[in-house]
Amino acid sequence: MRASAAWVLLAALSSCASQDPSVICHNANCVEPTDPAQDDTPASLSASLALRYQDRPVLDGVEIDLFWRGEDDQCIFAHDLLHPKVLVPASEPAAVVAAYFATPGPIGWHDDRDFEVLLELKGAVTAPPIKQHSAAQRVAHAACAWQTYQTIANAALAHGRRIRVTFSSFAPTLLQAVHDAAPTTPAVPFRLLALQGLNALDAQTRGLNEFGDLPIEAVAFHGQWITDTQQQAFVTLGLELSLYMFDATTETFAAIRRYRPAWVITSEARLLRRWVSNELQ
Amino acid sequence: MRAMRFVCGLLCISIIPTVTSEAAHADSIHGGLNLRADSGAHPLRLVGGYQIANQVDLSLTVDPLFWADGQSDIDALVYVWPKRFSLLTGLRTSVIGLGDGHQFQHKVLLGVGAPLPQVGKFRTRWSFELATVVYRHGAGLPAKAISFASGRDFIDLLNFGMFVTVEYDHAR
Repeated sequence: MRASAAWVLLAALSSCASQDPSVICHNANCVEPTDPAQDDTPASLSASLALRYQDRPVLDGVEIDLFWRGEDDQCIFAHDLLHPKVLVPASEPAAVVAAYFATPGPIGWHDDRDFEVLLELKGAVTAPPIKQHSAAQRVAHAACAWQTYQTIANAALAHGRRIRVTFSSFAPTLLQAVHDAAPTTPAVPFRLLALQGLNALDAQTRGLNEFGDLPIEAVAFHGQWITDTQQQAFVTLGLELSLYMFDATTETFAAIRRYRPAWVITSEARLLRRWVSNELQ
Repeated sequence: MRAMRFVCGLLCISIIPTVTSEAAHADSIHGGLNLRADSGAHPLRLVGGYQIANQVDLSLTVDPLFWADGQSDIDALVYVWPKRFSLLTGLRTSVIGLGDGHQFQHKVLLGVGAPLPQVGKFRTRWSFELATVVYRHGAGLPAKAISFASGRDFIDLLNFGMFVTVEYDHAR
């Protein structure tokens, strides 16, 4: 009995050791050198999806930000309204990802993992001073997210790609709207992820208790902005952990070793891929 | 105003004893361990240096744990007024193993140090640092200097840390 328990423990430990994090492209812009001014543009998304290392795609997935612009009720591909640039409708990044699925060859680094599409619904509808969604805008924003999902899912099914879509937000009410609008028979798997920032300093972060009964399956947090107590709470709740980051430093790498996240959402995809590969050796 | 008074107080605490009772202290060489609990560098490194009277302390920290994970952090530090609350500045180069290359991250260190109780010939010191990554290059990836164009450009590149040094002190 003891021997079998030891084997189970050994197997569990070895499976933990071999689980490298998936590399997810932050804000559809993860080509080095990092340039936040290029976040959420079709060009940066295409360039990020085209990244290769050892003749394979660098990425395991990509994040696309969906912003509801309140002034004219447009669903756009944007992180915020602060940086003046050509405003792109949400249908464009969906079309870029769909076209990527049509290209021959593997679409992700791991053959045995679903390609991840992370759709982040931004919680503001204006530039600062921030205004939040009205009830009607929440419903419309959720509908836009599902339309994006459908476009990407259709392309995945058409080209035999295995994918999963994760809807994420700092705002519980937006994820509730997404949940309420979910199709009864989804074309590809989907789930909900709660974004967590600095609780005390970040006005958009909401405690997990505010997500109520929503079936949240994962959380994403910054590896240098979290306490061990919070991380342990997430683990205790059975949530999958993801780290997001902007620039990788030794502290970032230490956080990945410490928290062993399922995903690292990064702006430096090639650096992370090579570091992760080196860690496994 | 209160902050200014605090800074002046710190300077007075540092300067007055240095220029009066210990002005004639001899030079010393020292060597030992650099220990830390945070993730700014490996938890155990080797440090050695030279202290010029009580005015300036120069030290070099090297990283014997590079074999553990392919990462190495080397510090060149200067303490001004090392026997009291001291000002700390220096450079840290972090070498990060990427399998088929290394990325170099150069950091500027700014901080303060304070002596802890000396035990015989062994001296101990606590230090608090702000480490700022100012330039990264290597491994065939594009080089990049720190930018302050937006918060996103630098927020991850500034990190606070603390460490303690325990060193054998040999006066000359």
